[in-house]
Amino acid sequence: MNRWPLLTTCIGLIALVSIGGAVPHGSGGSSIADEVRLASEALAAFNFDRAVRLFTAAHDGLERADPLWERATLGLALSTQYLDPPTADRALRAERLFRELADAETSPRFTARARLSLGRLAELSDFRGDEPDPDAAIGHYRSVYERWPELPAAEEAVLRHAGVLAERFDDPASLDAAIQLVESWLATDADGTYASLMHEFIGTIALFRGDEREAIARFQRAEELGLSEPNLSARTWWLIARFSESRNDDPETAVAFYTRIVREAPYSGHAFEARLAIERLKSAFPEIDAPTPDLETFGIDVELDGDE
Amino acid sequence: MSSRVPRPSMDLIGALLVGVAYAFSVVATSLPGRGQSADALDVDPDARVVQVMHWQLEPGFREGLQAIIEAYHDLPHVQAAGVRVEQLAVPNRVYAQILNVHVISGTAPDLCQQGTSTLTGGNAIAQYFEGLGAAVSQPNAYNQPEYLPDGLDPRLVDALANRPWRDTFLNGMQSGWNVNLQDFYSVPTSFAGTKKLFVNESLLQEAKAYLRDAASQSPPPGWYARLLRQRSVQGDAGFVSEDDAYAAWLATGGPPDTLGRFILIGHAIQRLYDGDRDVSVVPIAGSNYSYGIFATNYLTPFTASYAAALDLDYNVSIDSRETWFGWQSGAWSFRDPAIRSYFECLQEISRLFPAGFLGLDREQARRRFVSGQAAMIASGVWDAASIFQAAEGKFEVSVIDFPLPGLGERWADQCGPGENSVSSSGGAQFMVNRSSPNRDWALDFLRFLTSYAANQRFNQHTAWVPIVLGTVSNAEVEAFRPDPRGVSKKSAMMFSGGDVGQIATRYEGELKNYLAGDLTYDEFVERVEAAAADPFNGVDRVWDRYRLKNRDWVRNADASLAVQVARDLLLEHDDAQSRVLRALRRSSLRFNGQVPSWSWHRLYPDQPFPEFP
Repeated sequence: MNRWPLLTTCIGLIALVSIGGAVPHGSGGSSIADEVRLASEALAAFNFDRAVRLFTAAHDGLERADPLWERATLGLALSTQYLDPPTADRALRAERLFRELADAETSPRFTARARLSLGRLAELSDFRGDEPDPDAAIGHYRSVYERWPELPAAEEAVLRHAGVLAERFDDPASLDAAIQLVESWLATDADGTYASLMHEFIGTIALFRGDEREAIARFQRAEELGLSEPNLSARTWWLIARFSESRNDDPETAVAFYTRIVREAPYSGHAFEARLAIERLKSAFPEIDAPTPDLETFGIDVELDGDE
Repeated sequence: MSSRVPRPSMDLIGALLVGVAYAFSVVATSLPGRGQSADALDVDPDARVVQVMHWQLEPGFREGLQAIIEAYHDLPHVQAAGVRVEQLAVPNRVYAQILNVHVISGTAPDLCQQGTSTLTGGNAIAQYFEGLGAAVSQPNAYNQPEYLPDGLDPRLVDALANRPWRDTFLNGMQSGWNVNLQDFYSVPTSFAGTKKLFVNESLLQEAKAYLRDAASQSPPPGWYARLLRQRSVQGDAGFVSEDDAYAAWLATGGPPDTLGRFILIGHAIQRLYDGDRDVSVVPIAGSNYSYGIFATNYLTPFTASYAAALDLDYNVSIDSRETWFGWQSGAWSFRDPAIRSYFECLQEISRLFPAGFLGLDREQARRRFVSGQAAMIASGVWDAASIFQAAEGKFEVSVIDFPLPGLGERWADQCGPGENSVSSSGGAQFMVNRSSPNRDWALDFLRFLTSYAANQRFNQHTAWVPIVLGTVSNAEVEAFRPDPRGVSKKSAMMFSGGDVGQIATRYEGELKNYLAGDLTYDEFVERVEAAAADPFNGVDRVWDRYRLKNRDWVRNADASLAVQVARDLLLEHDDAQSRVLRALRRSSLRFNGQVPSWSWHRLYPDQPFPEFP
């Protein structure tokens, strides 16, 4: 048997591996703190592979008592969770790390985050054959908002818990329970950081259930609190205006939000239609006394007029 | 007896592997790498070269960019730093491959045009390109008064000098914002996306004179009479109504301002040059590139009225999936007057293309137009400079919008407003390579390129549309400036697209057959509907894929959330908490990927969601 093909291929592969040696390494001789920082930066840049490598090196050299340990553990767990492709091994490793961090209870923010992630791992099917465990997920979420209600993570946990319930879209009782849970939270913290998103959450459920009136009310409340994604404001304004108009029962609101689209979202693509709608509504409801705004013409005068 | 096919020797493959790897290793270890700093490489730190890679090979672009590069080189602080900017113009066909290889190997140019490569999209952007959020929040140093021309409106000077860099763009730099990654990753240098009709004025006047002559005859010639609007119980015929408005238009030299008049001009050209003359002239320089421009531009006026009924996920944008879900649920039908009119309109326009237009490419069409052998051509601003230059001295070129049916014209009842062009799409958007040792200078050059004076000069060279506040276009491309009048293109139906798999393939193929006149409308519809109704590869399959895609989106949204959590808890960035909120929004409002199931349940409450192995 001729062994040359195998031998030369092996040499070729060895040479290819040596390419890796030609690439400079930037982290040699650095401290663990530097490694954690570099790993965190890699994670912040969506470079999960590099983050796992760097966090692993840092994590392995740290004692639990070290202040860096919770950072390295959280970073390694998050990076491992989102390595592609998702596999059972990776999910289990991430889960073990999150559990380790949650059990260590080093600091509330890190512990709460670990529990939220454990909930998410339980809630979703992370790899082929992974069976979601909604009850376990709810347990993790509940533990966060009951124990640390003052943290932003608590609001996130409420939304996640409600999300588990809302996933059963064909069960009205479950949808009602989702809304009730969020409502209860809003009753005690109406202006929280996540209150606007909570109203959007309820409004979106209402849309899918065909309750446009409730959807409009929720989106308006979210708008008053400040939309969680300002870059998508025009989309929300359009929905409020369109449904206010199509329901034919609140033309003033429709005109108000169409006007905002023309004035504040001239690049949304809907300004022209919004302006036509204003004219249409003013014609149908003469009692509406509102000016029809001019369209943005991309000229310097219009742009600068806004500054005056 | 069996013959043996020669197979490549494994020895040879192994040896080649060794050779390639060795060569790469030698190069990688001996040449300056982009991942290494100048200090570490022991090269002159003053000799910095900032490379700009793009695929814009259209006439004017490279010259325009070079003019700005040279102006940049003249700046005292740039000279003092020994910075040189070089452009690398790469053909579009290989741009993605070249960029991918160099991005992954860490040798990509400092500034790369965004697009075509998968590494300039998705989460990969954040891995390989610099987030620009902090930079675009600061004023552009090159918009300070000392860099601005004298005589500018003081309000403009104030706005340019003091607003954040992003707010000195007419579109607020929206096209550079990545909602998934929650940062700015690219900077546009022009407006793009608007397509228009270029008109040969000489041929237009010939056609109008010919039409005037036909209209003055009594009775008019048969070919002309057939173009006039006639309604009967047998159906519609003709395109324009011979009313006062038509007579007024015909009396002038004005371009076709309605769809009916546009088709009339086309037929007049066909009659004028129907083989009796030496020169072959067609009404429209059609090609396998331009038929799609007409197909896209007429989608909005004919189909946007369906938007509210099709928007299943309430994102105020219709995609190809929602279009076909609407077909399945009966929200629209190929028998609807508006839909049928759309396809009939396209076929009528295609009859004005040269025979065999599907075998012609973009460049062949452009050459036909500039050589005076076509009255009109559809294209974008990127072809403007080459068309105007090539036509200079031969004939005048004007630029017009795609006309819509006028009052009383055919299809007027089925057609709504046209498409606006305020989409925030920018042209020639550049990204800063994360691993560049010259990131600061790359960013500095980008600031210069998008400063008031340089951006206007650059776009005047390229004959593109400048994007910075207060800038002025060349007169000939003024028509390409964004026009807010019209409906959003996001409201238009999409019959084709990668998300609908086999349906799109069949649709595209049969549409070409229909436009070429090889199929009747009924035959076209029968074939496309058969593909859509196919139990294995039809719309049911699209639902299944949609659900899988939604699960991927949820995972991506969760990955984005993880990144923002890292920025918050591990890096303690000031803006991280608001980004955590935004990332959570993307994740939680997808209801764990259940939106497709929910939509299906609303449409078909008693039927199980389609599942495929």
